Amino acid sequence: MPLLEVDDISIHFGGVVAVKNLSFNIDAGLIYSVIGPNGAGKTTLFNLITGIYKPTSGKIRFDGQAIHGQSPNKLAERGIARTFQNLQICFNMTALENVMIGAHLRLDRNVLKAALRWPSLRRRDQKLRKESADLMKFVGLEKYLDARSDALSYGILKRLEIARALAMNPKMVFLDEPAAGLNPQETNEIEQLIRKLADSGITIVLVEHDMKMVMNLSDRILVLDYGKKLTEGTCAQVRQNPDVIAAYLGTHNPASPEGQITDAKFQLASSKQEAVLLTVSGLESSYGKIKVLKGLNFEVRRGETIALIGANGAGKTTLLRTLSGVQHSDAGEIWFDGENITKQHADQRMRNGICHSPEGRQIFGSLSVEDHLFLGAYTQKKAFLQQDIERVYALFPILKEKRKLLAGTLSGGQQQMLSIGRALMGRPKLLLLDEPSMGLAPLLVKDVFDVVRTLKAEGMTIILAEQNAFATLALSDRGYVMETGEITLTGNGQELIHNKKVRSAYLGM
Amino acid sequence: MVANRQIGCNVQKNSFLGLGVVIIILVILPFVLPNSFYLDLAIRMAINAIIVIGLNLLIGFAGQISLGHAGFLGIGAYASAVLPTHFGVHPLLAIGIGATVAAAIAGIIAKPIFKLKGNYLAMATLGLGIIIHITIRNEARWTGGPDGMAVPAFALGGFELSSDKQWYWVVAVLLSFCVWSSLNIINSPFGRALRALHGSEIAAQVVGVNVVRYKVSIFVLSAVFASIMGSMTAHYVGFVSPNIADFFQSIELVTMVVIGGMASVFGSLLGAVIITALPQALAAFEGWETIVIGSIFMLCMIFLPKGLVPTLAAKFGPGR
Repeated sequence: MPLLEVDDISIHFGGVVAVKNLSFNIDAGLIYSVIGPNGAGKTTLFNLITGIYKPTSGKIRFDGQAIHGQSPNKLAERGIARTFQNLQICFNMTALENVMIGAHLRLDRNVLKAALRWPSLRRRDQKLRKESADLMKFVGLEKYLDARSDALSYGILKRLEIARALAMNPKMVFLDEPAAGLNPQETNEIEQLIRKLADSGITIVLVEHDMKMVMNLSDRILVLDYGKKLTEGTCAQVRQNPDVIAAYLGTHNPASPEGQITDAKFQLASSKQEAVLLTVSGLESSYGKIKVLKGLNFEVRRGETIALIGANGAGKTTLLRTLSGVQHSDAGEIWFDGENITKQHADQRMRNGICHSPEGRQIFGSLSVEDHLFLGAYTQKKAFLQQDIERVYALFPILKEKRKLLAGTLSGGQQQMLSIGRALMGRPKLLLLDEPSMGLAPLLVKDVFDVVRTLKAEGMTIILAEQNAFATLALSDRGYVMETGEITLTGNGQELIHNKKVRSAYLGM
Repeated sequence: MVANRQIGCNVQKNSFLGLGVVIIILVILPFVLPNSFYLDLAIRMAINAIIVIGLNLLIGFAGQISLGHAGFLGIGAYASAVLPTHFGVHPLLAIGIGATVAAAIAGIIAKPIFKLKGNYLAMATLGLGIIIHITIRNEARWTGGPDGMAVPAFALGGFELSSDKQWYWVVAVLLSFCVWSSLNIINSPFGRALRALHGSEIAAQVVGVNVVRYKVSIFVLSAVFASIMGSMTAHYVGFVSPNIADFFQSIELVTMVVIGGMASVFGSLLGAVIITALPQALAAFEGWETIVIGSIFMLCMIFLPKGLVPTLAAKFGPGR
């Protein structure tokens, strides 16, 4: 009998279906990986199984017993432990205490005994200190026993979470991107640690974007796309599955006639040597302790469409955020339209013509569609307003139809269009589009890309960060491939489409 | 195996060193204080300190706000005033009944309240405090209404607690016990669960902490602290008025927690001492003292945002 049985579960957030009719089993003792492109529903699936979310429908059984809809603390009692993609560390406690808290359920939690320093409770607590210290040693953190957890680096905290999970004596551990934000050396160590855990008999469920690590470790892999099961099997089976390759690299076949036509267009475009609009040199940026951009240098010419591609966590979103000024840069310079804008705030950059359609759309649910567009035109002269709004409505007729509705009632695809529309209302000289196809059905993806094509034809300068590499490269003049915060490859669209490295950056092959 | 030393105990050792210092000060204090005015001040400081330590378990350690804590103070105070006066209940029993009522109200109200977060939680606790305050003021038949009422002396057997000296020693013992047991709680599985749900509610949940139950427990516990000390205050002063339960009293308690230092037992102690003493110390400013006190608080928040004790500990001491 499998240890975990997931039977036909679905979850909706508002109108968006994040996980849809998903079924799979995990046998005890395996390392089982869940992979899929950004927004495929991997973390949502973890949150469903570990009780953070409750499934809209479907059943989950653990060790033969139904567990769906139970709260996380109940699931902890059954032996389910997890770590988090964006750390959940108690920074008000020492490193060791963070591990000790994992043993919560095995301890005497009586507050009166605690207040009176009850001897049995004290003895048990001392023993726990030793056990927790041993666990920290097991994950390689024996140096940090008494350290304040807020003074520790990201890589160490990732392991601390694993130690905390182990303190629960779990049967099954869910690891959500244990290698995200780690350097290759640390990734290697985490990989060995996971192997050690599995050898000690714990069933591991892994979500990870580092494909090399996934392929090295996994006994079985589940591939998700748009919240649905794409396929499931061994590493070899998954790696050769054409659907998987398409999910990661996009659906447009480079050999298709459409690709050829676009190809001819971009040659025309890139043969014009337009003036440089944007120059970036030595750009660095970080989130807290994690350096995300590690010294980027590139330029964008007027009228160019630039594809920014790379796996999850490569730094695409951060680069766009740093260009629009939403994210601070640590070092380097950004020149835009002949002006050094490095020190400018996001609002100033927006006035200067850098408009950003951010990842996740950032739509205000309680504002109407029309209000969003007015908001986008906040910096513009009133005289342009009507004309610009009509232009957005021409690009996205559905928005005109729904202009009086609250944006929260729109579907994901319509919200994406609204996000782009709002950015266009700022009369951009440079349009930054972050994952406009994320979470959209294939038909809508085509619509969105068609709009990008139209804007390009009108001569707008666009930087397009995308997971859907084939489709993006097909309509771009040039592409930059990012890997772990650096630009590792550059070239025109066609060169990159055929480049083996592009495939490996995505699939770890 | 890790070497056979006491792991992670230096923090606790420092704490118990602190407890030793507190006890020594408490023992020496009555012999060096020049007159009964100061003894009275010391007693009120100690009573406030106990309330604030209890409140800090809720605010500083568990990370939950209560802007209505004076309400529980009022419940205790009026239990000790009303029950012996109107019903002839023994004062000790009255304290127990007050604490039980406070615990029951806290427990019943806490479950829906702690589904709320941040501003909403603050508003809900604020409302709770105000309701208790208004009830006390309006039930004039029992409570004497806005004028307040006299409280009979605290007597146990044939012994009556009357002189300031006697009161001082009772309160000093209570305070020492309170500091000791709070330090014990903080470093127990219960206390770690509280701190964990403050640090990351999600992390606490996935290791098995029933966060709502823990929030309710600590709310009840701090309400009991407040109620008992409300009873003590009533007996000590010999008189209660609804002011003991009003909003400003609640705010003053929270201020003591914040100025002294969140999540610091000794911070609460210091916060209670300073804020109880400030109006006396600043009496020279006459009409302006409120403005001076306000300015001191603002400067404290700007320059010592973590509160006095944690900021000083980080600067001069090891560990926390």
